[in-house]
Amino acid sequence: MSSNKEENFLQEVVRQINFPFDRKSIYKELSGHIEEAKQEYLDQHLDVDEASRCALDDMGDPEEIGKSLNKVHRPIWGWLWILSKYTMILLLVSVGFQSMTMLYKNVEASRKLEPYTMPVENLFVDYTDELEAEDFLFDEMLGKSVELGNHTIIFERITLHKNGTMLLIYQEVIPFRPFGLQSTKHPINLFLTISSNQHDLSPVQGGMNGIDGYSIIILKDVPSECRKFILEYNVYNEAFELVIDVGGSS
Amino acid sequence: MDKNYIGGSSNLLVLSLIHKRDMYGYEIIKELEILSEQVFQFKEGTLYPILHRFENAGWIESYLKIAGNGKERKYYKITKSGIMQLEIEQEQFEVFRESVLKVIGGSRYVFE
Repeated sequence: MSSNKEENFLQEVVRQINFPFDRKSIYKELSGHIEEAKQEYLDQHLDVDEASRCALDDMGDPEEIGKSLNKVHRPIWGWLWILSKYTMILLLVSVGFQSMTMLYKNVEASRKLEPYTMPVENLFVDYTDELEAEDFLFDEMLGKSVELGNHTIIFERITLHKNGTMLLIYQEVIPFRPFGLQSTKHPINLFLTISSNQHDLSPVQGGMNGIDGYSIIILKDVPSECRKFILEYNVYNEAFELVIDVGGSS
Repeated sequence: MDKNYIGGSSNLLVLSLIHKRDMYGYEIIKELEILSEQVFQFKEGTLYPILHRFENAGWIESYLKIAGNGKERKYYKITKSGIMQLEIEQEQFEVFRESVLKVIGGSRYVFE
């Protein structure tokens, strides 16, 4: 048990310390010392008050001790220490957070989606008024996949509207790498050549759009009689060739 | 003995003790008393600014250990740079001691 006198002594010491975060540890260290010194006097059969008084007497002047302690507990170093500690924690947290987001993104990118079965009319934001399901010359599920490097491109669906707009809906599945740099998707629309019945439909008009992880190649002014399409892609040693035969067996 | 004598050699005394084994504050005080046969007795509280100064200088490191009575004790352990400092202090003390002896010895010759 520490008496009032001991408490006063310790408070007087820590009052001199400008740097607040060191006060507690100084208090504990000195308090432990006084406890042990007092115990030794108690063992010599002094009563509690005397033992406490003697122990405090041995310690010296609390103000003086506090002042010399304050000289070595410089606030500037203390604050820098605290600052660097919190900066480190913040850094670790943000790195952790980033790798978690990265992990999540990588999981997302490597997730294979179900075939795209939503009504394609919804994809024509510009023509919502005139599009009806029966205005499509064909709308076929494909499920044809090609390898491109270590990626897999799955052509899900092809559809041609009588206004000449053709949609080619596909997804690109990227291999899962937990914390590595995720490779980006191929800009297929820039390099893909599509031909049909001697019509060269490339360069692909209208570019590429994406919806819910699917990519869509949009071609304009496709002749309505086209049913067989040859897709060719050859960039940086990565190549594939695919024949889509609408209404055919393969 | 005049307490001021300890002032200049406190570095040497405290570092020497911690060099022998890891110690906490109260233990250092007791050890000083016993080894010096009660000659080195100073106000015990003044030990802590010395210890904390050493710690700032990187001569010693502290760690907490739970004692038998369940209370935490702050132990001090000497570092490599502390051992180097101890050697410097020992050399300085040797020079000091020899100089004092020369002066004392010299003065005796004068009076003889």
